[in-house]
Amino acid sequence: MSDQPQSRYAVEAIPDGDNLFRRVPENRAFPNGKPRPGAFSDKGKGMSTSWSKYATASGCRGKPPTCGVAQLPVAPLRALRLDVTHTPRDTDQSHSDVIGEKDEETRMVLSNMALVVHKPVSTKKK
Amino acid sequence: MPRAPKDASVADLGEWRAKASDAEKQSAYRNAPRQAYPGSHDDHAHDAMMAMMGRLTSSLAVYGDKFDELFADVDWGDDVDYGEDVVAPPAEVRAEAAVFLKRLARSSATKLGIALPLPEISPTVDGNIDLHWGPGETRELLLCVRGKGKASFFGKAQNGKTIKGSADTDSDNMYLAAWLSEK
Repeated sequence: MSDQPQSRYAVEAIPDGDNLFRRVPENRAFPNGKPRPGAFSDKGKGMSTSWSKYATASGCRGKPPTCGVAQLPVAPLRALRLDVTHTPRDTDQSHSDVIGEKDEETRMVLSNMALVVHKPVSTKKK
Repeated sequence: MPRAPKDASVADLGEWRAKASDAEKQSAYRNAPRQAYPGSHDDHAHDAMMAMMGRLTSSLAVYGDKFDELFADVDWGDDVDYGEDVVAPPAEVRAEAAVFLKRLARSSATKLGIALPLPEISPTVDGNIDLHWGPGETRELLLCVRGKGKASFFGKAQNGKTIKGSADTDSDNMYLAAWLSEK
């Protein structure tokens, strides 16, 4: 999160050609695994993601690894006038924030733009 | 001459007539399938309204059941820990979304003659509720109920038309239904 205290890791510039991973809980995904617009919202000052330089998609699934993972290319995010910033934490060097208004139009675009890397695993009790 | 469905009662028709504006009555007449209702001008309007009332009462009857099912079926994530960034919508926001949707559907049906499609309902990561009509279809509308009477929305159509703004969830907001039903 962008309002986190300084990390022991240096803040780096994220190139346009890199990707971010966004965790997608089961109840924020369409049945085909694609993230719903509701998967993209701010918490604090930005939307938390993991930079592909220091993270793998599999590593973003949570514990237990049941969440889906969507991949967001950096350049199109910036084209939406969203600020992509490396905000490492002591426990997570990959942590990055996507800062900027996530109104319904932007969330709809993000939902369409996202590439499904992992579908969520259903945890619903039958 | 075709008759209105059985569930269009005279009382319903009378209520509609009493509340409908002249423009709404004219619209009901204009939108009636002419060939199906031969006869005088008044017969046309009367039968068209009877037919429409039948459709509306049927729709509302369906909505009554579907609304409860819709909200009961939503996975709010109450019993799952998805991580620090994910919060479930509080009960008051869920209640507000349900009331808003029912009001929108009812007003659209009774005042505009529009049978509102049922949206997909899902929580957002930050504890609000998305009502999503027509994802991936030619006309799509995403409305986020944010609590305390506030909502915001964005819609886009395949023909390039868009709609965007904020809404008061205590109001009818029938323009949203009108936009969704535009051809």
